[in-house]
Order: sequence, then C-alpha cells, then structure tokens
Amino acid sequence: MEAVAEQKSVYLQDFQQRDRASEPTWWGTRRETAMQRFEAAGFPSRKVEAWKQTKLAHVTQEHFRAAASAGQLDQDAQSRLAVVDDAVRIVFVDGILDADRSQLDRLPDGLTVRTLADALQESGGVAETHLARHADAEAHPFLALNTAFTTEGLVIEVGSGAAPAQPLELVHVMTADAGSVAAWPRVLIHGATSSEVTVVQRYFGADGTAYMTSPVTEIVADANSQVNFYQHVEEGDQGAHLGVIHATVDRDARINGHALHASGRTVRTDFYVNLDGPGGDATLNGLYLVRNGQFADIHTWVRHNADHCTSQQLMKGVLEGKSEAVFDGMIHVARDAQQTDADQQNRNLLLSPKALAHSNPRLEIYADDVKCGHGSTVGELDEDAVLYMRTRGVSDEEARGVLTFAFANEMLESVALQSLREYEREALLSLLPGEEAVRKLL
Amino acid sequence: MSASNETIEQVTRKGYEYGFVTDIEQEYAPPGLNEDIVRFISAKKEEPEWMLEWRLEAYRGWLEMEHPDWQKVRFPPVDFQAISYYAAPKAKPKSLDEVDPKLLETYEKLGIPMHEREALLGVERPEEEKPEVAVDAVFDSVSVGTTYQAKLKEQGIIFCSMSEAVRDHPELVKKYLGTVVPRKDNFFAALNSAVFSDGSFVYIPKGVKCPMELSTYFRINANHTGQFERTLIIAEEGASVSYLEGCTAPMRDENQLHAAVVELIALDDADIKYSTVQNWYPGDENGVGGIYNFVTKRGLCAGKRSKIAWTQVETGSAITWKYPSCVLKGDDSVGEFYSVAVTRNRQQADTGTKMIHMGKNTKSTIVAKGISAGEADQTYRGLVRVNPTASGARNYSQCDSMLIGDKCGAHTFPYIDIQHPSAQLEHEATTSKISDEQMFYCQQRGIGTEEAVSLIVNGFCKDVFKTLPMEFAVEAQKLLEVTLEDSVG
Amino acid sequence: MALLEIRNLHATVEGEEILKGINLSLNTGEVHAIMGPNGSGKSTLAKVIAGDPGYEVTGGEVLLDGKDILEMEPEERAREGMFLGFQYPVEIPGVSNTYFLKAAANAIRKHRGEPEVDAAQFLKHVRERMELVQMDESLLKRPVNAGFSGGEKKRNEIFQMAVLEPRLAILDETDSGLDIDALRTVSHGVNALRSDDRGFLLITHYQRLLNYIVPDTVHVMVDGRIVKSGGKELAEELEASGYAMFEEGTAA
Repeated sequence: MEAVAEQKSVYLQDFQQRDRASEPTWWGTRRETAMQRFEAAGFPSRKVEAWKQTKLAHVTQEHFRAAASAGQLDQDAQSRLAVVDDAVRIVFVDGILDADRSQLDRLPDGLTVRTLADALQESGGVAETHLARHADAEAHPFLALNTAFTTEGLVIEVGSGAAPAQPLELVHVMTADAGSVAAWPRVLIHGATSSEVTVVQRYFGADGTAYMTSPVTEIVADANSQVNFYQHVEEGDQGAHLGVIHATVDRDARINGHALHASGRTVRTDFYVNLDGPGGDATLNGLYLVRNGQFADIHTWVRHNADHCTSQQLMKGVLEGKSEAVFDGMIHVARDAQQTDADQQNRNLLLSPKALAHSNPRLEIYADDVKCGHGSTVGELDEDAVLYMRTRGVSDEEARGVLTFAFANEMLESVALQSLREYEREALLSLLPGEEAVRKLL
Repeated sequence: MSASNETIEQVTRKGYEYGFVTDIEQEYAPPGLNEDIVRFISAKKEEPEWMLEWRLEAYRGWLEMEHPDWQKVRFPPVDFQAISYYAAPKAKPKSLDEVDPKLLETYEKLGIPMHEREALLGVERPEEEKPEVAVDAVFDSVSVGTTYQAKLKEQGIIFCSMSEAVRDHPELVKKYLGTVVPRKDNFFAALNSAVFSDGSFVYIPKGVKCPMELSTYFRINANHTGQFERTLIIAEEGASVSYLEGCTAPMRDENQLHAAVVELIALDDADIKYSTVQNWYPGDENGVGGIYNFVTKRGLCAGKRSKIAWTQVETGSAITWKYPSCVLKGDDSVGEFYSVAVTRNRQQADTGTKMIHMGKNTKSTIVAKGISAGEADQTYRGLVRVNPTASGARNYSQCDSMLIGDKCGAHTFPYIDIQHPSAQLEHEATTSKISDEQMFYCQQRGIGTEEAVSLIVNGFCKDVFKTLPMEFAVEAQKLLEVTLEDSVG
Repeated sequence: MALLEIRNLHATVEGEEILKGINLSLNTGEVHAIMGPNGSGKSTLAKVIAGDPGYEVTGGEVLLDGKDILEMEPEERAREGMFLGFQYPVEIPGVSNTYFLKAAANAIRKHRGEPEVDAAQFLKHVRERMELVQMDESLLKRPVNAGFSGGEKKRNEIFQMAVLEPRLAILDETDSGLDIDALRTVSHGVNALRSDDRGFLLITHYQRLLNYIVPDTVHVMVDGRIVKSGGKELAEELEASGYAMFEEGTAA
C-alpha cells in the first residue's frame, strides 16, 4: 500500500512539470480535474470491486513516463504495420505519431482526421465539445491518467450521411527502446447523423520490454450513425495494456465493437457504452487468448438510458498454461428504458488445469418491461468429443486443436474485414495445440 | 386505461368453475391437533404400530418448529387448532362398483374418468383413440377408488392409495417414506408427516415402462378441513412412469389448508415425469376464501443416468408456496422443471424449484413462466446449487414474467451457489407486459383481440405446455382459454 | 377519389394535443413522405391513422377509399387494406412468423368473403416475397421478431407488407437504425411494391431515406401541423437548412 501511495505522488510531480504552453484553458482545466481525481483515489487496491481480480502490481510499482522520442522499429515490427487491406493507416511509435509512416493526406471524402494537438487549438470545436466530457475519470484511474498526460492522439470526424468505404487503421507500436515508457494515446471519434465509419486500432510491442500502453478512445455517435471499431491487442510479453473505450450513442445509432486480446503480460479493456437515445444498439464481441503467465481482462458497462435500445455482448476466452482471465460485465437498465432487449454471454475454455477464469455477469434492472439474458460458462474441452475424434483416427493433440479452434472461431466470424479476420485467425492458430495439423485440417 | 388493456383486465374477473359442494355423509375428526388426533387418524386407517410411531415422532418435531416467514406471501396466521385433520365419506366401498354414485357424479362433473377405458376430459375423439389413464381419486382425506389396478399389476406395477400401501407393501413404504423429504425437513412437511391422510403410492419394478398415464385427482369437499396428502413414487432401475395430478375445491369464504408432501425416487436409468394441473379454489376477487397450498415436492435422482421432470400448471389457490425440486445424486442424472403459474385477483404465489447437483455431469433445466393479473403478486424463487463433488454440472434457467395490468407484481430471485469451477450456467430472464404494443401489432395485422390474447399467452407458455402429456396439454391450454374467454366484450 | 384523405385531424395523448389539424390527400400510385423534427407528431399521425387505442381523436376525419375509418377497430382498418410498418416492431415469443402471417392473411380474406388460404400456395407466395427483402428462410420458423436484429425486424416489416399486399402502407421510421446495406434492401422492397393501385406514406426522421425511395410529395410537419408541402426537392432543402425556419414560423 505504501508503494502505491508514493507512486501517485510521482505522477503528480510529472504532471506539475508538464509543458502547458500550447494548452488551451478549457483543456488545462479538464486535465487538472482528472489529475486531482487520480491523486485522490490513487491506483486501485484489491478492495475496489471493479479491480479486485486485476493483477496490477507490476504496473503500480513502476514509474512510467512518456517517451522523449520514438525508438527504432525492428524488422518484425515493420512487417506487422499493415494488416487491413485498403485502409488509411496512421502509425504511432512509442506513443508518438510517426508522420512519415502515416497517410493523413490520403483521407476519403466525408472523413476528417486531425492530430490531437491540432484539434485542441480549435475553439468551440468537436474536441472542446466532447473530449473528456462523457467518460468519467472518477470511475477509472487509468482514464484519469490518460486525460492528465495525453499529448498524442487523433480527432476523427465523419460527416453527416458519409459512409467512407475505406477503414481507418491506427497502429500503436512499442519498440524495444520503450523500457518504462508510457503511451497515452487519445482518440475521439465523432460520427455525425446517418454516417458510418470503421476504425481499427492495433496495439503491439517488443517482447522483453516493460512498457505501459494506456489508450482511451471516446466515441460519440450522433443520431442514426454507425461506428464499427476493432481493438486489437498483441502487446509484448512484458507489456501492460490498460485501455478504455467509451461510447455515447444517440437515438437510432449503432456501435459495433470487437476486441481481441492476443498477448501481453497484463491486458485489460474497459468498455463503457451509454445508450442515450431511443432505438440505439450496441454489439460488443470479445475474444481473449491468454498464454502461460499472462493475464487478460474485459470489463463492460452497458447502460440502457433510453427506451427501445438493444445490446448484445459475446465474450469468449481461451486460456492455456498458468494463465488467468476476467470477464466482468454489467448491464444497467434505467427506470425509463422500457422495451430494452439486452443479452450478455461469456464462455471460457480452459486448456490447462492451472488456468483460471473469472466470470462475473451483473444485471441491474430498474424498468419493468424488458428482456435481459445472460449466460456464463467456464469449462474444459468436451472429452467425449475428443475421444470421438480419436476413434476416427485424429490424434489427441489435433482433436484438441480443432475443437479449440471451433470454439474461438465463432468470434472471428463476426469480424467484417476479411484481412483482419485472417490475421486474427493466425493469432488463434499460433496458440493451438497441434497447430500444424490443425492448419492442414482446415 | 387503453381499450386493449381493459379487455385484458376482464380476464382477471372470471369465475371459478369447480366451486360446487358434494352433499354426502362424512365423518370427521374433531378440530384441533394433538397426539390423540394423530392416533385417531392412524387408527382410522388401521395402521401398524410402526407407522403410528413414525407419525408421532413427526408431530413432536413439528411442535418445536416455527412457522416460516421468509417467503414473499402475506396472510394472517393459520390457526392449526381450528382445522379438522380427517374427513371422509362414511360409506367404505370394497370395489369401484360400490362407490357412492354421488361421488362418481362429482368426478364426472369434474371431468375425471372413474370408469376404466375412458379418457380424461378434453378433446372429443373416437373411442379407440382415447388413451388409457389410471386414476386414483382422493376425496378429502381418503382415496375413494383406483382404476386399472388389476391390469397394472400384471406387470408388477403397484398403483394404490397410500393407506393401502402401508397395509399391503409395508417393506417398500418403510424403506422409502421420508427418505427424500425427511420428517423435519420444514414446518409443513413435519405437519404432513404427522397427519397425512391419503395420497398415491406408485412402484414401478425394474425395467418396466408403465404402459399408461397414472393420475391422482385430489378433491377437497368438506368444510373446516385441510388436505394433507402424501405421495410416494419409486422407479426401480430402468423403469419409467408418467404421473399426473389434478386438484379442485369448492368455493368457500374460509381459507383451507393443503399441505402435501410428494417424494420421488429414481434409481439407475429410471425416468419419472410428474405433471400437475393445480386448480384449487383461488378465493374471490376480493381475496376472500381460497386454498393455502403449501407443498413440499422433491425428487431424488438416486441412480446413474436417472431423470426426474416436474411440470406444473398452477392456476388456483389463494396462496401457493411450493418448490418442486431435484436432488441430482447419481452421475449423469437429469432434473427438469417446467412451470406456468397464473395469479389473478388477489392470488399470491411464491414458487420455483431447487436443483441440487451432487453427481458428476449432472444436468438441470428450469423453465418458469409467470403470468400475473389483477392485484396478484407472484415470485419465482429458484436455487441452483453445484456441490464440490459435481464436476461438469450444467444448468439452463429461463424465467419469464408477464404482467397483465399495472396493479400486479412479479419478482424473480434466482439464487446460484456454485462450488465447482467447471459448472456451466445460463440464465435468461424477461419481464414483459402483455403490452398494448403487442395487442396493437396483432390487430394492425388484422387479427382480432380475442385471437390476439390467446396467441400471445399461448405463445408465452408454449415451452412449458409442450412438456406436458398430450391430454394434459390440451387441458392446460383450455384452462387458460377459459380464463381468457371473457376478455372480448 | 383519394386513397387516403385526412381532414383537419386533431388527436391527444393523455390530454395533451399532439395533432393540431392535419390535412393530407394521397392518391393510389403515390408515395408521400412526412418529415419533421423530434416530437413534431409524425409517429402519432401514423398510429392514429392505424387506430392505436393509446391516442384519442378529438376532431376531423380520416377516409380510406372514401370510407370513414375513425370508428373502426385497428383490425378492421387492417382488413380494409391498411398496413402500418412499426418504428419498433413488436416481439411475440412462441408464435412463429409463418403462423402469425397466416392468421393475419386469413383474417383479411375472411373479411373479404374469400376462403382461407391454401397452405401450399401460401408458402409459395411467402417464399417469393422473402426473396424481395433477401430474408433468410429460417426467420419464417422463428417467433415473430424475437431475437431478430434491428435490421431483421425492419426487413420483416417490409416482408409482412409484401405478403399482405395492402392498399395503403404507412411506414413509420422504417429507415431508422439501418446501416447502408440494410437501407438499400428495405428500399428495394418498397420500390418493388410500388404500383398503380397502392399508396405509401413514409414517415422519416432522416433525409437519407429519400435518396433511395423517391417520393412524389414531401410534407414538413412541425408541432402537430403540416407547415409545408412540395416535391422531392423540399427534402434536399431541409437537409441543407434544417427545420429552424419552419419552427420559427409556427412560433410567430
């Protein structure tokens, strides 16, 4: 506990020493408020309900700071930059925008993308209206830290009625030079009325380097708009990832989220979705593949604040070796949110007796005409199915690989972008027992 | 209030069809409960000494127990000394042919076939297609007749009243009675164990599939009495049986107590299906009168791969308080609970089930549908427990409530207690109003209000009705439709 | 004679006047669109015409083929050939889509003095109509709208309309909440059903729909009144300048 108390003072010092020269007053005020909130609460102890199962020790005992300059991309990182076909790509290296590798000049009609620094200079613009206005820093220490420290990020605006066919691919890379570095990218996506956009965010980093990526994405979906977003986490084996996605959804608007946790020492994503207008819809899909020694965590807070909204959540976990995962999902239905239809499913597959999965579905319903469902399973492979396949000549390892693949593949089928789906499939295959054989069978 | 809601509300003021009284000479125990009464009942039934001792032990236990108050139902305290614990028609028939014609008439009026080769009421169909149903008819405290006994006996099946079983099959009764629901299990189970009158006894020998539906029809007739039946069903290895129970009572201003105990035992690979259509007198629209239905029903899946399924359609009683449960002790055993509960006027129901997983790879399914109308209040209370020994346990629970009008209430308490990490649980819950929106949607497609209500309600109950034996499914659907027929004015 | 004639229609909900004198005339073969800001009474108008008992008509007339329908029950209006596509299609658990449609079709046929539908022929007719809205056949066996996605529910409305072949179809915000692909499908269904003996009243919140279904007439509704009517160019005007000018107009 002492260590934690010291840590927050360290961040307060960093905050007080930051360069405020180019910071508009409104932004300075929001950052100070966030810092005060972090300073008041500190890093959460295990007594805090929303954090009790999250392993944070190596994050809270380290002092992470923004990188002064970006490190060198190695061969492997370079080869992983482009995944999504036909995308407009924007690259951050060690938390810093890499203009040369980005395609900010190749934006399709109806789409405006500015750097956070540029957008902050606009008075009364979309940043001032929405940035750090919907997400509640009080509820989340890493959200508070991001607001206090972020300098790099993007403000994405989709024009009324626009539906650009090209997705945006934001790539966040951490290099081997990023020891003790924190990346605090901040992205604001604003979809105007009847617009549609797809944004892919991919995070990966070098193995063996202890860094922290703590991104915050705020989404504001105006009436009848649709935002499809992919959160794709493949951090290095010593990397920590603590991300927040916050969506405010107006009437008739849709949010389609898809998260993949493929690697990282500690990976946690918190989804906050507020369905604020009638007829809104939220779909959240998640897949966490947790390797030996790693930890993955997805928290969701879906709030039905208006009538006739729908939400679906399907989260699946595959755990190998001595790994641990948490799913904690809340559906909150406000008193006036009649005709709500909400569903939440969490399924976990343990490939090893040492793997541990926690599943905490939570419902809070204050309206009286609603439909809510939730299901939660934690289990091992069906031994009867394994045996059945073995009697047909498939080896034990292959049988387990195929069954595991079948379990997780359902999540990949919900990925609309083919190139991304294939990439995710590779990530899944690399985790499977009997990988080569499974590949041949498919 | 909108027009469609008004039509639906009329549902809640429908009369009770089975409220008549049969005028027949009866003998009673004096009101009140003490050891002498217990002895009186035992003597009336000409029971052996061990049975009397068993009852007295239960009675002494009951004296030390307190009336439970955790359930979400409200009623004035029951005066257990004001009830007569034994009432029976004076004439004692030796065979079906000798049964008082008034009694036969009563059952005829209720639609219960007391002649062999006749089916339960319901659909009109050619004689040869009517399935055979064996009936044990219980009138107040005694069984007045059991049909098809001889035919069942050919296969070694015992189907008789509990009194006969105590007399003719003491070894089976001694072996199983009170093993699933112990005498001191709860307040009302203890009371029942002390004073139980008749009820049915079923024994299906090893490997026998019972060739017909067995059913017991419970009728409360006498005033100031309660009914305390006791039912015990044993399915030996590989045996299977489908059992039905129906209940009605006259309309009276007083509340009458019905405190039954039902025990089911399924050995290896045995299969018991127990269906109830409960239509006790529910009281009038102001909540005067009606039956207090406080029942303990529990099945033990003792053997491997055994299966027990409870299906209940609960439309009657002023207060219902029951949780038909399954103890899944055998590996790979299966427990099921399907329920439709309708409460209207001032009825209250606190009902649900318990699924206790003890064996490996045990499976349970719960589908509970509650319809609440008028000023009625209904609670689903369910427990799914997975013991540390129960690896690979699975449960699926679905609890849906439908509210008709805005003065009724529905509450859902799904308790879950998991002590093994491999458990797989799914839970779905809906609370909906038979909404103006649904009615208007149907009407806008050209479907009239009467058809729309029946469409919506039957659709809501479909998952449960399809688990009932054919005859009873028709019966249950009719019961709901009778309830709804006044809804179009 | 107009297919739908609305004269000085007034309606209230819970004592509050929502419709304050609506006049509208729609002929067979025509498609009219009603646009307006939140709370202008667009959806109320649709529900009042279809007979939703939650609203009280306090004045005026609504004629379908010259017949006054205000005294009719909703199902009678439906049997007379009126169809409402719901903004939020309602789920009916346990009742299959096919069964529901057959019950509806038979009720309408009975009203017309026609015999019940032949099961095989009806299924053939239903299958043809499914293609129109690219609906998966498995949806036929599923309970009405239960577990359908938002897009599937809206497509199901158009599908029901295609099966029931109404004289007048009122589509209440059928486009809301649809992505571009689903919007195209739904619009295709509507366009395919446009004919000389059928009329459409589209109620929409978003101008985007009118890029796909081109209306003959556009009405602007503000505060319970139609404040302006014109050709399809009126919708474009609204897209550019919004409702503000009309709202000021009524306030004055």
